[in-house]
Amino acid sequence: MLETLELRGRRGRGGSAARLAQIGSFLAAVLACGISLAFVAAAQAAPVAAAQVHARYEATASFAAVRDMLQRHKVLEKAQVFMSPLRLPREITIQTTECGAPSLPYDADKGVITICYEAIAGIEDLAKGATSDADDLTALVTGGVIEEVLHCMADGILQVFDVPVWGRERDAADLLAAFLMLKFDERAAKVAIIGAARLFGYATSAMGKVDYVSEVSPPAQRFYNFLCIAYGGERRDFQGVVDQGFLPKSRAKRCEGEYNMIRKAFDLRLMPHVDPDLVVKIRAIDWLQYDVEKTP
Amino acid sequence: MRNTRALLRIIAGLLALGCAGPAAAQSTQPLDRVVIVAEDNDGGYRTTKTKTYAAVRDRVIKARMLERLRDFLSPVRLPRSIGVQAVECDGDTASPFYLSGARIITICYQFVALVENVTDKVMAAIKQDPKRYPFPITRDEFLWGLIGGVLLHESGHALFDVLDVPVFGREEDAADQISILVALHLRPQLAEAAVKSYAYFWRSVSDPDSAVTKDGKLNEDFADEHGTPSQRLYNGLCIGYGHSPAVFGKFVSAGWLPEARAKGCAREHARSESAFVRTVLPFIDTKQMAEVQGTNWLAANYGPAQPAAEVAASSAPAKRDPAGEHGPAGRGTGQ
Repeated sequence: MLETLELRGRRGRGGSAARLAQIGSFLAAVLACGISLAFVAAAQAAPVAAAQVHARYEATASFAAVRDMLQRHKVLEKAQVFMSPLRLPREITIQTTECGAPSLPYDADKGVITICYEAIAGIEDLAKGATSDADDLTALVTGGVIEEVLHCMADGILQVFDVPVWGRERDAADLLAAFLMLKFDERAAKVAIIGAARLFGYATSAMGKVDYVSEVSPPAQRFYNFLCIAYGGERRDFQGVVDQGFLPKSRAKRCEGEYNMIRKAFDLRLMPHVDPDLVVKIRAIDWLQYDVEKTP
Repeated sequence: MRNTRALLRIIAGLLALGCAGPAAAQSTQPLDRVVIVAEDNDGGYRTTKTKTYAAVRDRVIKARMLERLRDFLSPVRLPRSIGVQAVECDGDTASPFYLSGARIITICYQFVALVENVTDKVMAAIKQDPKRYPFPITRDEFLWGLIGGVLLHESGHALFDVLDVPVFGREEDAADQISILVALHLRPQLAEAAVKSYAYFWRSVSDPDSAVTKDGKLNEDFADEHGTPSQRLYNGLCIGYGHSPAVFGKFVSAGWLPEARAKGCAREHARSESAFVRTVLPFIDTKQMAEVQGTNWLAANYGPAQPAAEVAASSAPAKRDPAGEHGPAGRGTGQ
């Protein structure tokens, strides 16, 4: 079922064969657009990475391949650029490291945002278990990595700026990450949102039992939360998730309100810390083709 | 001449709406912050469409539920008024709800009937196996703790809306948080009643069987904007335990709040209390708040006697806007 969660807008319902064909056509479109983890080099005007955000790929023996992949695609360097409009009150570091756990919270004392190799390895494993198609695998991993990085970044940003958070912290990081994804262009936003949502769907099946005790929402809820923010914020782009039944209408009718709630919170509490001119430059980047090396 | 008369009529209309310009802006008259929305001199308690809920309405009037809610919220300096009313709701709607456009909290008579029914069941379960429950609780504590908690949840939605409170997490969780946080600052008996009734209620409701249906699809129960019963149980207990570990530690030792979650509750509580202090407290008259905190809201004569039929204002409730509607119970009460 989740394989049919594709990135088009309003479409008619079809059988599974028709849906698979839709996926095929989507993937062809993806390829035609050059979406891949290789992020085809493209000369684009872009802001210089913020000096106050440091990037660090920690050495690891157990996850060397993961580290290489992240470094090869300059994931942290792109995160630096993405954060460059923030007027940070202190220097911070965004690092990838072996955590001994799937995630580590933002280290407020040292100012360190951590992305765990274990989490990225988990994304790759989940994606490999979900699809054997190389291009679909790439799209899934891309969406998953973007979600993980933005989630960790959002958690850090909320704490760096000492933002009052109502609701559960990890949900707040998710909703802020989904909100930020919608600031990408349409294609990149779809790759990020749909890839992340599909992985949450697969994780739900893989995990079996639901952990209700955790302060982290189960992946099934995160699946719907991401789709809801996307549909609420960009209905034209994500109408398909309702038309195809991935997001129930009972939830969908509330999504514009949910999106507006996070937008209002962002405008009130984070926008004052953002350089609006740099935001324009960040939003002008085609993130799926962006080559950080070409940054002037 | 005709134009002059028309202009005068418009000015008179504006004056009636309270748009009297600078003179009104300088008025020292306090704003009616929470208004009981009455129709046809019903005191805000709509007559029932069916006989089923006529007796419930009588009990709600006798309990002066709208007056209590209004008085409870009176310390909040709302920049815009909000309305409260009691209604026999349409269709399957039982939960109270807040409409953001109309700014009205509606209490459904069905909700009160439902809570009365749930109270009987939970009290029977407690009587049957009292050792399973960490604390004793009276019927009144459970009934009014639950009703009060749900009304605080809806009031939370109203405050988020009217005070423009930034909510980064899920709003339904935030409304649960503010409900528990406010209750924790009431008299000890009421604070404990609120947490106990909240916990005992959510413990009595089942979670979805599985996150995946038999045909391999995601269980749409997880699409609900509310948490599952267990999540709401743990979230609420965590705030309570984080605030008062000495009081609510029994929930941990009895296994109602697992250690794995409990160890982070001081931080969870501190984060949500900080959000309250920074985004809501500035709107609160602390002197009036102290009076509210010291009031025994469970007592029949909880405060200054006022006639139940008191009418603060009269205006028809706006048509329901489902997208702006917030109900607290979700799947928990079979909604």
